[in-house]
Amino acid sequence: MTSPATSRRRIDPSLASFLLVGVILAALAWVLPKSSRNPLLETAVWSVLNLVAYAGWGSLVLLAVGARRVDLGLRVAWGMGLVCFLGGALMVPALMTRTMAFVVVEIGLGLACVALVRERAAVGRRIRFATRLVRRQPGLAVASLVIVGLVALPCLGAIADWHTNPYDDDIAYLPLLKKLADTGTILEPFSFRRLSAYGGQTLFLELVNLRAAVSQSHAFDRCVCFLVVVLLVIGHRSRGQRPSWLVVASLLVMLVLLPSTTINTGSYWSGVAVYLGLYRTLVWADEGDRAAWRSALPIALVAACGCTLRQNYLAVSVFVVALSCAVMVLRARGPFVRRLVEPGVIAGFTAVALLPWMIVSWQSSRTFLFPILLGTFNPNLELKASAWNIIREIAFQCDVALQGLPLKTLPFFLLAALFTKERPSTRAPLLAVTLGSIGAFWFLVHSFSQSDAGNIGRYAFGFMAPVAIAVALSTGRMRLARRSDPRLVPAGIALFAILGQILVLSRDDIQKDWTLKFHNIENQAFAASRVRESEPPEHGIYLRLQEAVPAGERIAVLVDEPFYLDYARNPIWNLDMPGYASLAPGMPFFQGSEALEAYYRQIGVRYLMFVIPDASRYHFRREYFLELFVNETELWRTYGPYLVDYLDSETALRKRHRRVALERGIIVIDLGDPKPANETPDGVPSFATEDWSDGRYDAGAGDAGIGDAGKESAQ
Amino acid sequence: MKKLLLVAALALTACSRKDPKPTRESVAREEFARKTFADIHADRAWNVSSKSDVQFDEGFSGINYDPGKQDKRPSFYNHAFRWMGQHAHVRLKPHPQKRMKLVVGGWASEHDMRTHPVVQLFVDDYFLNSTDVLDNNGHFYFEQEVPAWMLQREWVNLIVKTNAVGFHWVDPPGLATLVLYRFEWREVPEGGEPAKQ
Repeated sequence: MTSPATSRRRIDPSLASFLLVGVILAALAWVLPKSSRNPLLETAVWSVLNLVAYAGWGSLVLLAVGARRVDLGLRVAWGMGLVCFLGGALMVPALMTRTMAFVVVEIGLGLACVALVRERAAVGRRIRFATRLVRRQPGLAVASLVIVGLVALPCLGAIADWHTNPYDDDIAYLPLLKKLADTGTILEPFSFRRLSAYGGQTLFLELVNLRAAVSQSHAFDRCVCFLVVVLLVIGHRSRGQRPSWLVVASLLVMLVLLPSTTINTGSYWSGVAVYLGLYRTLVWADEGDRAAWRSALPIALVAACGCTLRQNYLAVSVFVVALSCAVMVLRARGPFVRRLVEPGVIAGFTAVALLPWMIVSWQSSRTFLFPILLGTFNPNLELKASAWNIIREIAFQCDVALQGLPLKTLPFFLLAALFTKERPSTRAPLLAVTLGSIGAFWFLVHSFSQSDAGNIGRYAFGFMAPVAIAVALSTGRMRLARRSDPRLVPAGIALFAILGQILVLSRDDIQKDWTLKFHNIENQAFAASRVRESEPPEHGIYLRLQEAVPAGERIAVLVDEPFYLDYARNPIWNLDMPGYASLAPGMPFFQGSEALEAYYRQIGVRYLMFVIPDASRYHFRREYFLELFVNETELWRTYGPYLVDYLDSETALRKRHRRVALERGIIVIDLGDPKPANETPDGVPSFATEDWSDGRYDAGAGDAGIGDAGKESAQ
Repeated sequence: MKKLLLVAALALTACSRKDPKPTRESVAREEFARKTFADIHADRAWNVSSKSDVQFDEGFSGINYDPGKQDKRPSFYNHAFRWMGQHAHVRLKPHPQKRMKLVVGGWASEHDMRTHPVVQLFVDDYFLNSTDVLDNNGHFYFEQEVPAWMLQREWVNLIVKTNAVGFHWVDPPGLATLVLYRFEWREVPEGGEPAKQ
């Protein structure tokens, strides 16, 4: 007879690893084949598989640098860095297509399975630890389960959220994603959004969207990246010491309840994930003695990955890594030249990791370092406000810091950082992340003063939120062993900031936000699987319009939903927001339609596809941009005339050239042919210029319409 | 600490900068906007809007529009105006080597104020002009060349002060007592303004 304890001991610890491998393979086998599945479940499973794939790639980095114990969150962050580098490298020869995206995810999953088997003893230990915890502290286990549920809900809410932003997603971000999947790269010389980011976010979106509808594009940023942040928080340890459970739990609740700033599929939580990953990597690099390149590789991968998500993140990576390196050079011992080795290696690796993105940026927009080198950007469009002075600068910086960021208690976290004494370290991770992010914040606000606090706050969220998290994690290691320990002061301030944010500041938004989340989740949970019949009718419209143009002919497009186009069939330039960017010698504005026509001929464009302004679903309404001429925000006041001028020129071009196709207000014209004399009118109804009162719903109209005979028969 | 202060001082110095010189395209852009608004008879909205040489700041509301007669919805085609506070601030950019004229037109709701106010203009705190005590219809109008000596900076501050607007701070009238409906900042033509008929 053996006791139960003995029988437990006899269970092979490697079983857990093999079980996990089995789960991964089963999920892959379920989600890969083309068959009907529930869209919520399909995208949720694929998102988790993406996460596992990043962990797999991260394990490869781990193997390369010879590290022993690295938690799952940090592994995922490193994996994202490596995937980002590989994706950029594959874009240079235009190979990062949809098929390649599948390959990248599948290799990552394979690597994850290998890592699980290789590290089966460690996995078994962790499973045993968790089991022990559940047995000994059931209360803690229940509380942890509640937090897991809290984390899962916004993730599912993100996958189920069908809203895309017609300003940004519909006309720019989603077309970039479609173009990448169709052509393997993103060459868009006329797109301001293309200039504004190297394209890392688009790459990651491509990987998730392999099993997601276009309308589910929030899955990457608000689900996958949010989970990465959660894993990074849970896995944090510094010199073997973890932050207290209370701090971690409070922090997670704060992050879950944080008012959402994500108005589009751009980088928000991906920035938080990467820059928290960078902080964690610096903490990791600070521990243990290893060769310079081994510490430098993950730092460089993660820092470079951050640079590709948004162009303003360049400053964050540069400032944070430079500050850390500066501290290291000052604090290290030995000959000065030797102290410069690791910073040099980090700089070299980062440059290599960024190089493919710079090349693709050059191929697309003739710049490898926007906004320092403008490339195809229009130098006549300033992003800095006029009549600027020191007082306005300070006021604007404060406005963005206090109003623009959703984390209203950030000043308290910074206060806590001021009192936090890091353990003797060579890299000073907290100092580097805090000061570097503040520097990048100042730089961002200073450089984009034409905009407003809300919008700039969105751009800063990705790197300012990690500062708060890093402060909380760093101070959360304090224990109440000695009451008079001065290190408890920052811990208290940080906890106060967390609870203040949860209990007071996030409260107003919770109900509306979470009601919508549940509503979307319910809709998707009972939704039918994705089939051709359920595709939006616009898909067919755009394809029919495109088929009117011979395959291989270049088209310049200005339409509300260019992501329905087939970018593999024709070379297509999406004009995005005309005026901000164009190929040399520069798109002419305010010079009439003849100049625009001559420009198009010069750059080899024969076909134009555009939405007639009166029929624009949203973005290209002439009236809307006309009103922006007198907008209070200088950015819009400056830009509005460009779009109206462009729309007027296109309308004039239409009057002179042959119509190739027309459907629902979207027209294709051929600049090579004049308009035939017998061409029928376009006949597009002018929704914009008609008296709006005629379009009011009239409750009695239906009755009147069916007539007395109809009423009688109905009765 | 000294180094930190030095860095902060340098950063703050970098915050003050001159506007870039207007390019041919930026001039054409503003002319296009002005002409487009004139073509649709929305000049009044253009007049009370910020532009490359005028910036409305603290003390002014955003642009509002009278409800139209036909479609009953506020639109920038309708009469445009801004509500104005007691101490309203506009930034003005003098044109290099040019004489500049300022035109300000508005209306004070004497009914709400229960008095006849006086409106005064100051450029960088130098007194420029003042109305008499407004008469019963409440409208005020300035048309004034600004002396060159007041326009030495790249941007100057114009303050429109209205006396006799005195509300307790806990009971503000929502700015709905003073209206600005005309604002022009333009060069005086060579040889002076043409005589009015």
